[in-house]
Amino acid sequence: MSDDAESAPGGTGAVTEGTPVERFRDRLLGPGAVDLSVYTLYALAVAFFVFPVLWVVSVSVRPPGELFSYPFRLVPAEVSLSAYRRVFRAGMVTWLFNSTAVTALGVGSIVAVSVPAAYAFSRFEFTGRRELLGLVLLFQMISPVIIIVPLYTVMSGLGLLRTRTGLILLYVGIQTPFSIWLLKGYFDTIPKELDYAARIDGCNRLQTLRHVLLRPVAPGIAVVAIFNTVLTWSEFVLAFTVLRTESRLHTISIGVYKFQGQYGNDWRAIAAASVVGMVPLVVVFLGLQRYFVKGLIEGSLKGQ
Amino acid sequence: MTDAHLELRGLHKEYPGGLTAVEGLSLSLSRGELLVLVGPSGCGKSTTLRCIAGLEDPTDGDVRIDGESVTGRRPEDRAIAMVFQNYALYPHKTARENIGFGLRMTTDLSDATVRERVEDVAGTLGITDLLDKKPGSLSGGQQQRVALGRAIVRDPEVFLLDEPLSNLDATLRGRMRTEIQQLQRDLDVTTVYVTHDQTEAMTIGDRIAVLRDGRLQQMGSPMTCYHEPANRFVASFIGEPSMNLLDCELDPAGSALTGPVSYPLDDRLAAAAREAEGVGVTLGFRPEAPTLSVPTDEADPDTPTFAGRVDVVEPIGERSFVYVTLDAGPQVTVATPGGTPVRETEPVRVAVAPAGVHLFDAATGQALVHPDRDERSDLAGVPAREPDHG
Amino acid sequence: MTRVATAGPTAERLVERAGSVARRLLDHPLPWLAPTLVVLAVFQLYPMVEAVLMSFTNESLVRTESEFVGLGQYARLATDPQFREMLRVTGIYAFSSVVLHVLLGLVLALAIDYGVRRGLRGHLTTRVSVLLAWIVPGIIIGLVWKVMLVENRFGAVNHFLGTLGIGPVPFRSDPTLALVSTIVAGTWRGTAFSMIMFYGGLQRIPQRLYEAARVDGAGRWNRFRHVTLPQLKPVLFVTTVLVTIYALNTFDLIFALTGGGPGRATQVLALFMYQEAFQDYALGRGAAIAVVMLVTNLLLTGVYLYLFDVGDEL
Repeated sequence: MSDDAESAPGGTGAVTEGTPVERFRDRLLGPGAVDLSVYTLYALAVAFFVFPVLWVVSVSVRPPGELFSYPFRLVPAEVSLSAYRRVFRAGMVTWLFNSTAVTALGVGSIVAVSVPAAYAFSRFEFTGRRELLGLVLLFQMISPVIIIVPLYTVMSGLGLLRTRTGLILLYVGIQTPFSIWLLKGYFDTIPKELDYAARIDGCNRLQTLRHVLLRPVAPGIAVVAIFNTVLTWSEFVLAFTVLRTESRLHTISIGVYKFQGQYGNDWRAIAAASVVGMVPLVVVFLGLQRYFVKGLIEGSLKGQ
Repeated sequence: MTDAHLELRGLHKEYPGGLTAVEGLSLSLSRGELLVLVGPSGCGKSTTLRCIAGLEDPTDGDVRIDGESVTGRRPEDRAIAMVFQNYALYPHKTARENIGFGLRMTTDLSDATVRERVEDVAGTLGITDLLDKKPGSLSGGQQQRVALGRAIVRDPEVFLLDEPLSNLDATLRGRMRTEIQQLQRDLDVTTVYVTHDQTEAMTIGDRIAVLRDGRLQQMGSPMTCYHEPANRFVASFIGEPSMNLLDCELDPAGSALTGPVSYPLDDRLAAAAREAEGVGVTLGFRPEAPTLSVPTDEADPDTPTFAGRVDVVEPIGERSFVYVTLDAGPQVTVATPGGTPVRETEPVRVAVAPAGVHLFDAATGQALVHPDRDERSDLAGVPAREPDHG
Repeated sequence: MTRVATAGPTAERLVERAGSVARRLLDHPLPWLAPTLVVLAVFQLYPMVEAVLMSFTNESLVRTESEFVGLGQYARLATDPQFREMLRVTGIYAFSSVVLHVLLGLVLALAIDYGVRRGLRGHLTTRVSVLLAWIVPGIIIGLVWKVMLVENRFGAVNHFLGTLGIGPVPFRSDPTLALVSTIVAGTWRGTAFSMIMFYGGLQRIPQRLYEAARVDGAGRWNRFRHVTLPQLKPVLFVTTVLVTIYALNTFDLIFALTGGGPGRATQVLALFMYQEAFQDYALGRGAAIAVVMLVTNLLLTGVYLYLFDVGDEL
């Protein structure tokens, strides 16, 4: 633990403060030593978090014969895409399409539902507002896995089993609380005088939202959209439960899961399926992570 | 009252939860007049303004513009415009779009007309070359001008200003104050100006209305509020430093005040003091009223004098404020000419001539008598000092 | 001011009246909240109530009628040694995950914050790497680690151990190692969340506190001990609660990595419930397990609300 203690922020500059013991410790682990341990930590972290992905990529492109090759090579001598061909033959295009469709429609609906609600929680005073907001927060804390059994009967009762609409509606129901919570934080930072000014300029509330407030909350909407894209794309249990055996609607998670069940020990194929399943998100996320982190930090601060 | 342009009749605003922000407020402005609503924070001045604007609905009472009730009407149907303390400019719109937005939303004027009117207004305010900038890249004063532009472009009947200078630094504040005054006169538009700063109120208003806890305390010209405060609150709120107020009792004979200090009453004051409901009478005098002398000087036997000791001398240029703790207990403030002979910690005498004295009924706070305006004028200099705070 | 023309033919007045009705509607919060309320009622509130009701029955997917069995399902769970074993596995998984998530997240957040302040290279790469693991779908994480932990030299870990002359180690077929493997995979995914939370918390500590501490002669350790930790405490608690809730409900990762095996060595509650309900078709029993999880979640949420002091913010 002393390692992270030394990396406490603000720890620059001279080493002359503190008790003699401290001075000794600070000299022993002066800025140079701290920098070194932080760099080591970076290296270990990058290795731990990136290596598995690289390994899977590496496995996926090995030719069948190079499976147990020695010595170890992360970059295989020969690249074979046969595993990928197999994955795509098994229905990868369908899964990608379904995941894209569900994600796009789902995220759009979540934003469409949660922006007005967040606006209402931020801009209206009404009895029960606190309680309702508390309830929303409560839902945010409860995992959908817990209510999966009754959800199944609800979906079945509404005739939404085995439908894409059902799955999208379900995602809206499950992920709206968090989105409202985050967006309300953004709305709260916009001064109410902006609303007043808009009203005097002749806007009704809808026009105020559209012409005046939407742009300032855009970063929040972006965060909500990115966050829900990741969640929706990755989600498994709900999709698995709602879509059941309707294989032409299966999303990437279900498809990959079923695929590995079928090809038990074909590690190359499983690796290839995994790679295809994560590439779209990784690409999107690498491009947007800066905004995401910034927005999420701001949002989480505001949300408190 | 027939020529009232903006009129409030018994305006009452109660929030859910029982908080009463404005209580039975009635006032009227003639066309082109500038009225300042002034009072400490929470006195209901901003709520009043929002009720006039139509941003809030009064619980009771009526708002009338040009002889017509506008209560219940939407803000944009009231022919009002408003400037906010934080300007409330739309951050993603350029100055041009900010100014023109109201016209676009409420009228079907052509783009060319809107453009023309926006540029007209920008010319008046000297912000033509800022029109394509966004608020984020404008200084406080420039944002203020854009906000003013947004208000005047719609050619309102009534202009509402909510603490428009509070977000500016001291030097800019003085300049913008003059500019707003000038603009208001040029446009000849009926204006309600809200501020918590009494100095600003004094310098800008044709008339000022002093509010406290949602009730109107006094309405009148700045000089009237200063020289003839209707009650103790107005007396202490208007004027900087505040009026000295000493709680006394009228002696049974009715010829002198007793209490922490004794003060003999001449006939005029004695007659006024007898109007009080009880025996409690508050003696008030502006810091400019007394004269200071050191005990070794020869005292004028006709002027009542309090002995005390100087706590602090605060020189502000050609005048100094001297804070004196009277031997009888209370502390008073005295304004003296710059080269005052008194020193800190030394004894001093404070002579308060009857001609400079206000009396208030201690029970109700209502004023009983004020100094004669003519007699007083040679006693005091400037009514208020310039603001030196942020 | 130029006003919109008001008077006119009746059609126009009708439009105007419709407009004013719409406007009045917009001035009420209900229309704004209605879609949210509907989806929340249908997909959150009702299922939650239904879960509780269902747990008092012996409802099953393969039978048409069901009957009220009172606390029968709970009594059965309480006396079921398997269920107790499940609780133990879930407890171990959740506890270890929380400790690892929080510690690793805190260390990384501090290191990245330090790097940003000191201008060290690599802090961005580190942050992106950690976040990368977070966005990989849970099922695929399970598979990635399955590939990593293959029990022959094809698995990366066994490959390295093999070069050291060890192994191959049965990471997924040995009960204890299987549980360890799920915990490691869970940490791989979940650390990003606590890291982001802590990093956000660090940004909020006012710099002047550190300056004041330096003026007071506090060394690096004391600044961490007396400034960073106390300032971070609320975020620390809240993150711990959230991570705990999250860990207790883990499903997809374990489902893909071990499927609960070998035997029931990695069968956490969520998995057990799912299997009871959808593989054994015992909806009533599944619901009873769900209620146990629900109560745990609600308790933790209560703790969260209390710690976060959110009540004042609402």
